[in-house]
Amino acid sequence: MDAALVQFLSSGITEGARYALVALGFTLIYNASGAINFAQGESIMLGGMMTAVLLGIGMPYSAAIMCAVLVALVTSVVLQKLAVHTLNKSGVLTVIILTVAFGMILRGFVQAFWGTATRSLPPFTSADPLRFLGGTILPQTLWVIAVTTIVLLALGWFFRYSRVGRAFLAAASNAETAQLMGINVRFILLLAFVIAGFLGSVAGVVTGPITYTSYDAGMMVGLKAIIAAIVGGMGSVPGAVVGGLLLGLAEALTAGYISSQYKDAVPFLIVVLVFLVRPNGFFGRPHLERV
Amino acid sequence: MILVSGKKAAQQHHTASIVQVDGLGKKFGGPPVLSDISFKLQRGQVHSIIGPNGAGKTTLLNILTGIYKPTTGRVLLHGNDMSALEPHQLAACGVSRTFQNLKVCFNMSVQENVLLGRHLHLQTGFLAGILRLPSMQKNEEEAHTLARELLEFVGLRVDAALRPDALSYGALKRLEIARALACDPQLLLLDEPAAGLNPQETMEIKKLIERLAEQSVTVVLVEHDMKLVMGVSDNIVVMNYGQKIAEGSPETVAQNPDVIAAYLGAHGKQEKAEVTP
Amino acid sequence: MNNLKFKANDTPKAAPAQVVAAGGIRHNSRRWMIVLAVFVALAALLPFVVPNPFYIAIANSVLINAVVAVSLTLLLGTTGQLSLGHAAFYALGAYVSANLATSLGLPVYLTVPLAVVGVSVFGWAIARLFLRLSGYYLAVATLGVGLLLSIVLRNEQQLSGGPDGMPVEALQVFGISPGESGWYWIFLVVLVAVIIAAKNLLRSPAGRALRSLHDAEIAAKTSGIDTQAYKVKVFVFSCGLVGLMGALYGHYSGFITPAAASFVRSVEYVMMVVVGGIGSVPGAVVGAGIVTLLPHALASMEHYEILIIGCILLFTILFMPKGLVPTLHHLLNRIKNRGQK
Repeated sequence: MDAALVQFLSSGITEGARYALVALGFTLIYNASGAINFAQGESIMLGGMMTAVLLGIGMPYSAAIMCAVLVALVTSVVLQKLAVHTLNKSGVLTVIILTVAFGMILRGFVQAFWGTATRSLPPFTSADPLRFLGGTILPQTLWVIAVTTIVLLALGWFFRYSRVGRAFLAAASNAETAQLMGINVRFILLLAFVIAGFLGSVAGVVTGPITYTSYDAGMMVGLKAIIAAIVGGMGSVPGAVVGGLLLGLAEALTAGYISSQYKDAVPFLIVVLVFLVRPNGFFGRPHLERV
Repeated sequence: MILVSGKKAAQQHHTASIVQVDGLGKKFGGPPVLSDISFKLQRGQVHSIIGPNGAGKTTLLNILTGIYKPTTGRVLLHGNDMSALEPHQLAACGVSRTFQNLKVCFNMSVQENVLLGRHLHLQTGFLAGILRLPSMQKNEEEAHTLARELLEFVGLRVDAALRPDALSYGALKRLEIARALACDPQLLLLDEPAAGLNPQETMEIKKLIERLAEQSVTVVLVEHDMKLVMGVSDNIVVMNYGQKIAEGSPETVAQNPDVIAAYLGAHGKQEKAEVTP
Repeated sequence: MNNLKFKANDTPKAAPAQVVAAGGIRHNSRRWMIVLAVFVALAALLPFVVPNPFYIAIANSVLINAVVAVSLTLLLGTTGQLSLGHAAFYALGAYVSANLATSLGLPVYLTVPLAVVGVSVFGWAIARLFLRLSGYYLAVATLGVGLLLSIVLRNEQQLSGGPDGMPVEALQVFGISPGESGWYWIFLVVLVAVIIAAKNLLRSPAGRALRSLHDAEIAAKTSGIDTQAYKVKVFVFSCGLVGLMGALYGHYSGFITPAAASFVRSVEYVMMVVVGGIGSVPGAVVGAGIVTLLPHALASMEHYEILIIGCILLFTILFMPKGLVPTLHHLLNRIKNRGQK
């Protein structure tokens, strides 16, 4: 294979993994609450930045990673509490704006205390590129693929075979019935936010050595991940993952073969085109209104 | 003043049946919700559509007001096929309705809710609104007066400048009727106007319907309250499982064995006693 | 004119006067005219009380943002359509006017109206294409369009001068440049005109039609309102206003950059509306004031800016979800009603 193509594919997979995991978290929250979480991208930022900061003060790598993930989980819980309060009081539009505000606060907090400089993380194993299919690939990219696959498989097992996981799916498709059957819908919502936070921070940590991280690294990723989730079909879990991966690949290939200047335009162009043709994405269910 | 074309206006005076429903059917991608519904509506009469829950009454109402489009069959208004029209176009032809789940705007005053119904008779452009032309203001004045009259007519004596969240459920139902009347309809469809009302309030609704019929408004009533239906209807269409199972005067329908069976199945003998007027 | 005759002696006797909860919000048109007059009077005094052009320039930013906020609150407060790309329409207005002036050599008093028309047409296309989308999808579509536009503006050097922006011909009235104070009067007049227009619109039949879309769209339809057409109209109206301010801004500041189209800016506009009160015209002005003045007030604490702004937005959502002006209005009514008892 062409060396350049290998390069593009590997960066596409890296970006795609970020989008996929964030889109997945976003979809879980949407399914559990109907709300769009514009702060979803910040979990990636927290994963990467917190690890970098903790490494900077001398913490061992694995401890730093765990603490960073913990920070992301805590902020997810806080956001869930705020979201529930707001949802009961106002409505879904207000919750959306709440998540925008929350995202700003996370960004602002990191900026205020650790500045705007970009940071990077050391690779998990080695930094030497490996030969692969006629090109080279970073070992970290293999880590990204491995971790993403493991996480997705674990999540899939969780939803299929564990009691809590199945309850989650039930609550996601019909909250009222689930409640009548004794499923604690509040807890499910909390779980959604926590899993989403976990997925995002893990993505941030594992891709951190490849892409730089900074206080505003999360915003664009979040927006694009939302698009990936919509394109894959709003509310569809496999759709979010597939959408994220394809989006990452599309961006990388565009940057490589068409124009690197318009790389960022790809997701937005795609979503605009998708809305024109298929307003519900490719896997989504159409919206029926009851009169 | 009803916004129909000259031809339709002419036909208005000749035919006594203003609406003809012809072989109407509706599917939502599964078994048919409505099949082969046909009947006629006579001008100035009160027609009721009754039937157990799930019979398809609200679907029928939604088709008559353009919210759904029929899968088969058609609806004729003064001989013209109205099946493909959108709700706002049907409103322009004099069709108006109230809703089972109240659709009142809580972000505007009672007065403004009624004025919403007057929309077609007012100057509705952005420019007219922004510039507040004298002609538009005069229109508004007249509409405000009419709105007050309508609120009186439906028996709603409240400060019309207040928000609807201060009104009781029965009052809100009457507000909807006032709004539906504001467009000067020739055909008024009421979707369960008595639901949730006490007997006295239901009596008010009955009197209201009678007053409307006196003024040649054709009323279609979808209702579960049999006393109201039997007391006020000129003609009743009975539906079950999406089909028309009977049609006729209250006396005829009350004695129809299919109707009794349909209701007895769900409600028992008690219902039979209520059904007989 | 009416077929139906509603005679008072026909009405039922028994219906008791409905019990009305105290504190219902009344719309008093005379009161807001007084408030507006006071605002104009105070605003007119400003250049004399604070003649320093630096402060006038800040005031000008507030006035410009106030018009944008009013146009966005009209959109969001009536039909509930959230536009996350409004900054792009603003920038588009600026760039179109700037380009027409430089490449075609047209005078400013022509390029600005043409820019407004251009942005309105673009808004019309967006509305026609995307307004059938439900709630969030429209927000994301406007987000997409806004970001696409901002990326195009950044990349296409010929049209936009690239990421560093392009100079814009300044406005000259009879050969004289208005200066900060001159522009202040221009922007103030525009703002007052827009406020009056918005208030008139909301009170009119068209305004009622728009406001009905939020709670009872289906009832609006069966009352004869072509709801799609109204959604498009208010979107185009909003875009036109924003494009106007963008065009004026270009000629005012003499320079325009793609940053004016950024997502961050679009969020700022939404913030102004939310903080001031969605659907409230005075709220939009107040919200614009707060969001515009805040970074200046925090000039020494620049690196805390995003954090503080985020906190203010969060505070508003949690404790004053209706926004500043409607919440104050409610409180005043409560106090007044308690006083009347």
